[in-house]
Amino acid sequence: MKRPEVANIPEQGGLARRRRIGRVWSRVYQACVGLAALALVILLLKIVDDAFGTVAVVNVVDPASLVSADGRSLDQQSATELAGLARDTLDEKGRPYVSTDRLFTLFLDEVARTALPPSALRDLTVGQALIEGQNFPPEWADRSLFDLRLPDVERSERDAGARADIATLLADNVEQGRLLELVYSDIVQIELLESWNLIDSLARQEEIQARAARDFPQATLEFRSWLNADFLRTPGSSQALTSGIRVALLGTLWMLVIAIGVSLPLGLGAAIYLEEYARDANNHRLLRLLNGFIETNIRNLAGVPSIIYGILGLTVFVRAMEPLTSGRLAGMEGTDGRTVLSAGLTMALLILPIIIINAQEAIRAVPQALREGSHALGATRLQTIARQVLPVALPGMLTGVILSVSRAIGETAPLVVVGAATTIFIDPDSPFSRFTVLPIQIYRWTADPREGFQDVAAATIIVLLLLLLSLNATAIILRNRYSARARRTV
Amino acid sequence: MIETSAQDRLEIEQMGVWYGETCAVRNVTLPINPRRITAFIGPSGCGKSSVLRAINRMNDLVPGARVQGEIRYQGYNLYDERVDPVELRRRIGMVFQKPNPFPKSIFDNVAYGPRLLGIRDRKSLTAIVEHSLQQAALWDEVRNDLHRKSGLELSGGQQQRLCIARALAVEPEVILMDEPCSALDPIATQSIEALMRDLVQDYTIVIVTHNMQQALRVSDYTAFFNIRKRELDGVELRWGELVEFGPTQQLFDAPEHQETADYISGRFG
Ligand SMILES: Nc1ncnc2c1ncn2[C@@H]1O[C@H](COP(=O)(O)OP(=O)(O)OP(=O)(O)O)[C@@H](O)[C@H]1O
Ligand SMILES: [Mg+2]
Repeated sequence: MKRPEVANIPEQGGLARRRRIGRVWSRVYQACVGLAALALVILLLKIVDDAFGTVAVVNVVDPASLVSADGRSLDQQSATELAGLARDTLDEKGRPYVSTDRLFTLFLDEVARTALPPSALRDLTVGQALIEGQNFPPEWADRSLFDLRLPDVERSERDAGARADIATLLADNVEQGRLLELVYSDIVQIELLESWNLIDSLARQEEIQARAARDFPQATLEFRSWLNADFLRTPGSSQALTSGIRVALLGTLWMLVIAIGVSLPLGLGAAIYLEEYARDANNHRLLRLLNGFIETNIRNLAGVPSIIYGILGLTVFVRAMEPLTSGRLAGMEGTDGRTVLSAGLTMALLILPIIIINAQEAIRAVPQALREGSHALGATRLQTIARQVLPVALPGMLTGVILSVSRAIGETAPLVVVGAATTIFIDPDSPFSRFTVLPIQIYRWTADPREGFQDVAAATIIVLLLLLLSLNATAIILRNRYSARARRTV
Repeated sequence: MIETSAQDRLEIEQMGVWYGETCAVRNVTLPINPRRITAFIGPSGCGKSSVLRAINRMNDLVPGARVQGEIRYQGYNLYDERVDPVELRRRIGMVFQKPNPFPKSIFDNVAYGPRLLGIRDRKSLTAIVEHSLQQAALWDEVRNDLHRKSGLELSGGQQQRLCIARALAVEPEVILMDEPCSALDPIATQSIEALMRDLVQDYTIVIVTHNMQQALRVSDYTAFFNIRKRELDGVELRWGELVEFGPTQQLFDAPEHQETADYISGRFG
């Protein structure tokens, strides 16, 4: 083979051209990064734009009309006066702003503080329901609690009596602040007329003010962060202004805890088996074949569309295992299997392949030489796995957990199939509760045409992202701690 | 040579090692005498490591590896069903060809074996660790970093000595060393050789080495392996075989086989 003649180095001429091409390509790669970053920035901007901005709000009832006879404003009035307002203020059609049911619920929450379900209250007397130290007329001690509530017969007359009695109990036992809140939320009722996005609010402030002055002269303009402490604390509502995500947030957390709690031990166990035991020479030939088959298929499972997991969850967890998932086996009076437990188990199945694959890879990356060194010193296989393989593989396994949390937190379709509720105001408080999760809440609010719900959805997205980031950050910190420890001393 | 008790002698008989369908080495019959150093020499790929790893059943961990023939020790065939490989490896320790310290502190590396034996008490562990590191000629270099430094933060030669210390810490009866000095400088090599001469009072040692001088210096017996080739249906088969075994001096001075003489004098190939 004849080597090409070596050309004169400075004059070869290809160099400048090569450099030019190199520069062009490095610009192309840079542009790819730039475009990707731009897309993310636009996404974030859009969300932030929605989640903050100017709102025009108006009060249904002017607080000025609720001043006391001697001219004290609402916050200066006593609990008794406020309870009186709640009892007596009527709208144009002559209906009370605060319904008797609403008063009774407040009474149950704030005064009776009973953990009993409403059905059990029927048999309690006022004396039994009220905590010691609370005030009520002594002759009411033997009155049935249910008697306070709206009865069927002689509706208006007895209703009025019940309203008066509950109002008295509230006035005597509830803090002034809580009643003030009630008056504001149910009587004064701030109503959202229009909401502007952040960029508009900043850039076209005068235009907005002019429009508000023209279209809604009674309205006040204020800057609102849709993401606020109350937003996290309150359940959903039919009003954008008072909507919160507590129920969905708790639902997401319950679902995650169940999903990770089930799939992490299962996945690690499976990965340890597949990596450390499945290829044993003294396994039966058929078992080895089966193991190989399972291993290839776990990879495929990770790619199965999530809706299919939803259908699986519906048939297995919601329907077939209903006695368990509804909580009836545990003695709860659940109604059906559409509980957060079913959702968690479905999600556990969905993330199981991710956890297994990552754990397998982490275990496989542990050098064989470590296992041999351990065995050569007389360690058993169990000891080798526990003391050498798992500590070294742990960071890689945590990567799997990070990936699967990210996946689980954003999944919507399978949870819709297993029956996540769309409208729910009660916190999930056990695995057998009805539930909703953040992405479903986001979906519902995004689709809601009423003023303000786009903004509520954007604020929810921010919460979802923050939750995701903080969970991932925790896992990454843990992982780095462990890999640093594995590198140095264990 | 003084004859030693046959009870503690490792008898390798008609042994062969196979990986799947390929034979790595076969026809190996040799005794490994107690409280003596036996050296395995031979060209790369002739199966020295394979034979060594068969002695403490490390090959059990390699999928597809099979051992034929017998290795007898203390009245048992080591591949008998009744033999517990875990117990066996506690008695027959090994230092690997490539240093493989655990990603743990130096102290924990050496204490690993004793801890497996159930020694928990700090004082005994400290004593064992110090003694083992001194034996492996590493103590002075690491005495201040026992807990601070990971085994992986040592140099290659230090790592190898750490692995030797680790193997000594469980006080095996036999120590198998696969090229323990290949990563060491002459001074460290010298101290390891001195260590071996020292240990051989109580231990049986097998060492694989590519260094003829080393085999000559330290070993009492030498086994020479060589590669055999044969063409079969256009495919070249290669496997190792034991060519010659004998007292080291005799094997080097007056080899029975021409190929042994060629290999020893560097006229190999
Ligand atoms: N785990 C394994 N799987 C398959 N074949 C193997 C394995 N280990 C060794 N072999 C083969 O067995 C033969 C002997 O290898 P071995 O490591 O015993 O040689 P060696 O004499 O120790 O060589 P060296 O001096 O280079 O260390 C080689 O052909 C090698 O390819
Ligand atoms: Mg070798």
